[in-house]
Amino acid sequence: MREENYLYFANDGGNDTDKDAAMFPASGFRGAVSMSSTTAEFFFAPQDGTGTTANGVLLTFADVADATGATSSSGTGAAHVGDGITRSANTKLVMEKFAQLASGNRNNTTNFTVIKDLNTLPANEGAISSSGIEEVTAVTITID
Amino acid sequence: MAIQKAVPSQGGETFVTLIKDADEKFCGPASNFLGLKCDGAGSMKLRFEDIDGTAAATVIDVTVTDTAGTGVEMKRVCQAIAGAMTAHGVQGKFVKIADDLTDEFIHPDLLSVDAVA
Repeated sequence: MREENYLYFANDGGNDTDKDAAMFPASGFRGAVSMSSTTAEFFFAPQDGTGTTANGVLLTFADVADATGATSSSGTGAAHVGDGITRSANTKLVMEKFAQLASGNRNNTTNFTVIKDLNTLPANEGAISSSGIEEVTAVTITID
Repeated sequence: MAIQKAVPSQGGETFVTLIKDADEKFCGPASNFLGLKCDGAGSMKLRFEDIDGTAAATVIDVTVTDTAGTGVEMKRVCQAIAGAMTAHGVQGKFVKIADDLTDEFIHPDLLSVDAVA
């Protein structure tokens, strides 16, 4: 069988309410869509086994205000646009980090990968201590 | 139509089993795992492709420890389950995730199997 990578998501609710957390096999990933300048939803094959309506995990992050002028929060040089338009640089960044984590297939590990966990976590416990992608500030899980 | 995630065998498959009692048991290939979710405080639902081939899922309810208030126990159980389902090292292995009959569990924060349906 193919080695699987299991992707873990959790909001900040302490895993006390329905869909506070979820784990999906990476092979069930269907794709990600930018929903706004501050959100992207990651879709997976549904856990109900029907294969129809995908389950989604909506990740929220900050957008980047690009002030007019010579420098801005979006950087300098080629990274700087300077037109004053707010952009969503974190959309690509979060998707890129997700791709790196989801495609990890590492020998001699548990293949348990934390994409994002917003709960207070203990220190020095490997993946248990991992909060995942640092740019993500909120997680909303949809599983029908 | 059910999503078929099983892939051609390379010489072995990891099989996992969860047992509630003499009448409610599950054993299936790890590659049929659809995912799991938190179902409330101290409660998780694991889902596998239905073993009868229909477009549905076999749903297994389990209880986990919930005392820290941060959900870390559930996370630890998720990590243990992920580790159990990986196929590294031993081809064709058979892993018991939870067995209420013999009181054997893959992690001490996994407390019971409540339903297999």
